[in-house]
Amino acid sequence: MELGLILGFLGAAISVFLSGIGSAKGVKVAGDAASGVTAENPELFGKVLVMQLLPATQGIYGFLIGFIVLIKINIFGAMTIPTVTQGLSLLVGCLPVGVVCLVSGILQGKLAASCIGMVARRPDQSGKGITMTVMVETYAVLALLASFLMVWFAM
Amino acid sequence: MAIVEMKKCTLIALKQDEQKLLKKIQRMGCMHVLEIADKELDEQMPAQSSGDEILERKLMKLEWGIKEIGRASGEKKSMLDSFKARPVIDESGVAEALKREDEVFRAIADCEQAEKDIGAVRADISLLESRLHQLAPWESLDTPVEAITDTKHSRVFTGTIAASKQALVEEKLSELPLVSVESVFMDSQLSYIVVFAHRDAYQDAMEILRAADFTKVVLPIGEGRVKDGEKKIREEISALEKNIEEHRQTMGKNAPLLPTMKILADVYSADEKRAETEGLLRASDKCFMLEAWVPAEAETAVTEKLTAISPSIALEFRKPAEDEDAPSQMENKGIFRPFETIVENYSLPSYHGIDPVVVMAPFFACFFGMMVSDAGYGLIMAILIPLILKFTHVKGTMRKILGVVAIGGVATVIWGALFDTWFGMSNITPASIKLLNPMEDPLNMMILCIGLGVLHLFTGLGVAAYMNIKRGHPWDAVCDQLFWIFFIGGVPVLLIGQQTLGMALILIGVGGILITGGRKKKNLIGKLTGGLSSLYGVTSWLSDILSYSRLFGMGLATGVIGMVINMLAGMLPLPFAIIVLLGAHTFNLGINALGAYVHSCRLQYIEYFTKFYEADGKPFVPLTADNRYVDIKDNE
Repeated sequence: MELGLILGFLGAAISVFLSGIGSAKGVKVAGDAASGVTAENPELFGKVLVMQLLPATQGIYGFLIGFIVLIKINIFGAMTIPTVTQGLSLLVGCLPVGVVCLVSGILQGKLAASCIGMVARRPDQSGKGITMTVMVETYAVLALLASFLMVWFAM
Repeated sequence: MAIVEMKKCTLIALKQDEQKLLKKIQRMGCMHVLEIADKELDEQMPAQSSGDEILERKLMKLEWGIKEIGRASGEKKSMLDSFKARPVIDESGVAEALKREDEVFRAIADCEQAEKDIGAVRADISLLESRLHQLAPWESLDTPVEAITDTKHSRVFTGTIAASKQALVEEKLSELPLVSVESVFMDSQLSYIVVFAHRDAYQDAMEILRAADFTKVVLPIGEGRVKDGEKKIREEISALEKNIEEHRQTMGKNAPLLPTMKILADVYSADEKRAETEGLLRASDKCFMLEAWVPAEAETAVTEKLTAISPSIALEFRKPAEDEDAPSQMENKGIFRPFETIVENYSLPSYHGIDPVVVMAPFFACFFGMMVSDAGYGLIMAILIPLILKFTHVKGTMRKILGVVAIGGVATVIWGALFDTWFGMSNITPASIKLLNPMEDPLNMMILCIGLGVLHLFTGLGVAAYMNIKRGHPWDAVCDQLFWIFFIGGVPVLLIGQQTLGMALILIGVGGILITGGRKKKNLIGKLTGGLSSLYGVTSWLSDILSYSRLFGMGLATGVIGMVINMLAGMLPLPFAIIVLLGAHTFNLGINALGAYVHSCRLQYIEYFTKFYEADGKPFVPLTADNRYVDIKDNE
């Protein structure tokens, strides 16, 4: 296998697994809080579920960049083998989304957990909780954008 | 598009009419009753006590009954409940319910007794369970418990020693011929043993055992083998559980009373609200006084209806004074109305400020559409949600949010068509109206996002300037808004090649901000540095503007996931492909609509509202019945 191809794959793998870890951890932390609230008050299930799902998007962003790398390599058709430079560029392009989503997924999960606690006490304020939680996601979106541009123009 | 004009209403009437008048006010639901804080009145018209303890207790009992009896009778609560219509009850229905009051409270008392009994049974069960827990390690002991007892010459007993010292104990005891130890079970900490010792050797054996942390255990069964004992306890537990089930069924049998309970709960909670309101009034022996905020347009209706009840009332309306905080109620028509919920979720506009809904709604819908950016998803939202609103009975905030999403859906169709994305597929829009493909043309897409962002922010500045001019501060409008528009607006002019014009605009802007930024400071140094610190605000402008790149990022997420879904489904055989397409596209629509809604909110709250919005209004909370279970119809 060509080194360029391996580097490209490595990039795709990094962006998928780092962001996946971030989201998995974030959703877990939020889920712990959500299950506690649901045990006390099952009617809040719908509201806390939305909050639990907020850190899930980071994993999607990482997957998305990984997929774009695969599209660039044209893995579904006649494969274009990237040169070593192109492969490295793909790898570097994957880093922002991977690393930022790892951290922001976990942090957003923690914030979501606090906001779920808030919803338990003030169910009518869930909209504000969602808004606060989504603030964390801003940086994941920016990283997604940066990664997308880098990967798109890498080859 | 406005904040409803309020008037302060003062009502003085005879005490004997108080209940009738309050009832009427509650039914009209347009008077926000205030506490009268006038100290001079204290002597002649002291404040009244508020609330009614008997009512509160009744309400608590009813709420408990509705919850517990509903649960015992297997009444399912689901998230879809809010989509169902509430039963409509007329006054004869209310009278009927009031007649059955004694029956209802007797039933609730029975249920409370049943609940107490259940609690007692539960305690018994947990006692039995702890016994089971104690017995578990002894399960393999085959000797009947009554056999483990002292005889004339020997002592027989059970107990535990530290598991780590088991080997040592065995070794030492083997030196004593008249002692035998049998280990029944061992876990990580303890070893469960039966000791047979001749009375002569008992003291020596005990010494060895004590060194190994021996604790004597008396097995909690009277007779028979441990296994049989356990079986018996389990049978007892299941009998007790059946007992709980019976109690629950008795409670559940009261389910036919639930509708009556719900009517009573709503009637009493309305009574209770009135009783609480009474605490805000002032009253003497013969008459009482009430102050309230009333929307100006309701003035005649209120006058007519209250005079009809008691012709001897004195009623006065006046406009709020400058320094008085009247409550803010937004009033918007048609498609703007649902967007009120977005403002309410942030903070209500101040009464003397402006209602931002009309200047916000078009941007909100536009950004929402750009972030979902798939015409197919847009069609689903724009068609499905109006149908849901028509055929179900969603109320309140949820109805408004759905309305916002439906209008956002229309914007989504437009943007999706311009970007040529339909359920993740492209090449469907005719080339003539296709604007650009964000995936292939990211740079122009970025410019589009930033451009819309600048337009959004400038609109905010425009509104702020309008407010300044309206309040007679045109100079503030120039310094705080116009200079910034020159400065920020000059940059793109410069970039498209109009060097002279661009530079001129930027210089006027920067110069203006530097000179006038400190105009409100008292001393000279403040005036000089004030301009600099105002100019430093450019950093927040930079982050505000770049924040709009999220429009691209969120749209990208929807588009690429849609594409991936189609690609994956294309690799599967047909039946699976359909399942994957339906499930995955629904998920994608759901998660991206949520994301688009919240991010669109954020762009309004953080970027837009900070430019002009005057928040911190107080909500208008009129005295209403605010029913939870049924709608009570007025006979008039």
